[in-house]
Amino acid sequence: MANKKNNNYENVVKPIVVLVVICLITSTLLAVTNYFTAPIIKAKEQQAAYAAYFAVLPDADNFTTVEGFATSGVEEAVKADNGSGYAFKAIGKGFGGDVPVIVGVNMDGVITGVSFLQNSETSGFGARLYDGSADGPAYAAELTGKSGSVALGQDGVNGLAGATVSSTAVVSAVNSALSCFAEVALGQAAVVEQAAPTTLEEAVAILLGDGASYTPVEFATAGVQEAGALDDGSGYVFLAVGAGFGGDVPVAVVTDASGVITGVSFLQNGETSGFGTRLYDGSEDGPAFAAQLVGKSGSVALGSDGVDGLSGATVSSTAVVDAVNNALNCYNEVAQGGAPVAAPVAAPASLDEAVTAFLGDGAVAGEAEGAAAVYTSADGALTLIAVEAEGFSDETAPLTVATCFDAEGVVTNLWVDVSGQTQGLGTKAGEAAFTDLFVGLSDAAGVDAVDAIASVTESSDGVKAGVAACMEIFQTMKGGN
Amino acid sequence: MNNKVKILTNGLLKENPTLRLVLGTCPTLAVTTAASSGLGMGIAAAFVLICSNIVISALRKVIPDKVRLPAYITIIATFVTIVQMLVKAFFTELDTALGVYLPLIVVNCIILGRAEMFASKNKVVDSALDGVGMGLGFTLILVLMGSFRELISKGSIFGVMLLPESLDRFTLMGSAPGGFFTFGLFMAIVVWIEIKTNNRIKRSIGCEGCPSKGACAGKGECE
Repeated sequence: MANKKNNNYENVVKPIVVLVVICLITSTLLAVTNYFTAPIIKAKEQQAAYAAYFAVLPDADNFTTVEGFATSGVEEAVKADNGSGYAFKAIGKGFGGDVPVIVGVNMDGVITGVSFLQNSETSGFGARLYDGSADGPAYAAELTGKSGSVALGQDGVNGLAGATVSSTAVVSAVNSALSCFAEVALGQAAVVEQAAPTTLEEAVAILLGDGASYTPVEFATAGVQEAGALDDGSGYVFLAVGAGFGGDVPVAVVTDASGVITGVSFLQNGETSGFGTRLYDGSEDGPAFAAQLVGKSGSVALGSDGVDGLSGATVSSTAVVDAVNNALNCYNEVAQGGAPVAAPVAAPASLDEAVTAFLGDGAVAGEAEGAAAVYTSADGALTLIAVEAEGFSDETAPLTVATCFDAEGVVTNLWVDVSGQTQGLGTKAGEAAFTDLFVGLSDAAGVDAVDAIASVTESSDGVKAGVAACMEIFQTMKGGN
Repeated sequence: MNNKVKILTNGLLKENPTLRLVLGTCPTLAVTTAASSGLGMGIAAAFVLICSNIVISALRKVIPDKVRLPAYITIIATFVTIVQMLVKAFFTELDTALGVYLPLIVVNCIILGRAEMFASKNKVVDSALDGVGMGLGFTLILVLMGSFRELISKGSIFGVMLLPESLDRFTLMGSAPGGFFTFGLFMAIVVWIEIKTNNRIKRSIGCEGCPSKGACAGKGECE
């Protein structure tokens, strides 16, 4: 009995009691030490944090943090207790992320000092701001003494040579600091940067203000996701997309009642960072592109009429132009009652697909001398004749040319099987840019006059010969009838 | 008295924790970038070692064998936290210099090792002296390695510029590879001395060299 009790005490009770007592004593010791050291530690951390502010506003004695400001781009704002001014920790969007800048502003709104905190910019470029070289302090000196707002390239503000993105980030941060000064010291309205819109409603609110509202309308135009008529009758809004580099590029377009673009806003997209993302990431490129599109109507094209797009981001810019054109097409449909522009149909990939595409369903097969295949549409109005022509390597790769004629013998459609031709060269003979040249022709002379594609002579001539042969067969058929 | 002196000097040379027992290597490599950091770490670790040795020795008959590791670690961690708070409040530059290695003193093998190997089996005064000796030995090596690395990578010792500015600095010695170079060099010197004085000891890694091998549940897993 005594043994068992002993065991229990030894194995269970004693360990628990000992541990609990140890923990109680250690907790007390820690609590006491903390009570004495915590305030000292806090004061020291506060000093360290404010150290940066003392450097830019040397006349200050002590700082108090300013609460409740709304200007975007500013992380912290402090006011000097002796009234000598304010200091701000502003953030600009640089190449590798945030570029933190400390700006001191005196009560006249003049910058008293600028210093750069550690950032993740590229070594040798944006990193020169803080790495101890003379470039950072030189740039800081350029900004000191300015007021109101600063801009790169103006008024002696040159930035870092060769590090434009980082220098622009600094300018943006400094301007945020100056705006914040206007807000907290002068009581002006805060400049709040809005995040890029993700829906048409958000984009409309940004472009026309919160009061604008629209009613959705029905539409069938391809490339448009939403369309609406503004409730105040001032125009229309569209959410259109274009095929970009990484997927769809959504663009919100607002037009007035006559179809002239009054506003363009770029929604968040999945394009490449630093390229297509410049449309919505807050840099100036997006708004600049949007401004190029305002005032246009009918249709827009990249490179004409001042529409330059984003430099270096051609695919994304083309996607935007496609989207805007889709929106304008949709305007034609919903406002002017025009026919909806359907999505372009994919080119036929085989003779059978060509037959269905050109003649519709129910085509009837026929025969004719010299022709590889003959089809007549169900209503007899259209005839398709296919021949084997000589392309580039006709032994191994026949060039099938299928020409579709209407009742008068005018070419309405042309399909060429260029699968056996040289990729990038002979295949061009099958593309719409070439085949469309034959549409509307009705005699051999017209076919002859079509220019062969440069460097693609054999394949082009093969197509021309094919079309001419089809015409001959058609004439024979008609003549025979 | 002889006995006490013997215990004290044990940690300095015969059973130097860094070069003979090969304990606490991680902070050794990390904080010896400068002599002053080495000194600061050495003093902090010595303080914790002495305090924990005293407490653990005082409680050695009270703490049941089953729960001795949790008890030791709680006690050690408390002292480390107190040291950390004091350093943060009064020696802020040392806090920045030591960084994360200050709280890592908790898992410094020297402290847990001496608790297991000595303090749990010896009287309070002896344990205190052992703590002092081990702490001094640790600090000694830290300062020597720190001075060596600082001299070659920056040209100074304790901030006092000793090498002329014109001499190129071998800054690699101030970073991780330099730590390994220096440690290897010092170890080689010690082994050479051992061979000369016929005092060669076997230093093992894995379970053999670990102070916690008596209590470890995962035997052989660290190899």
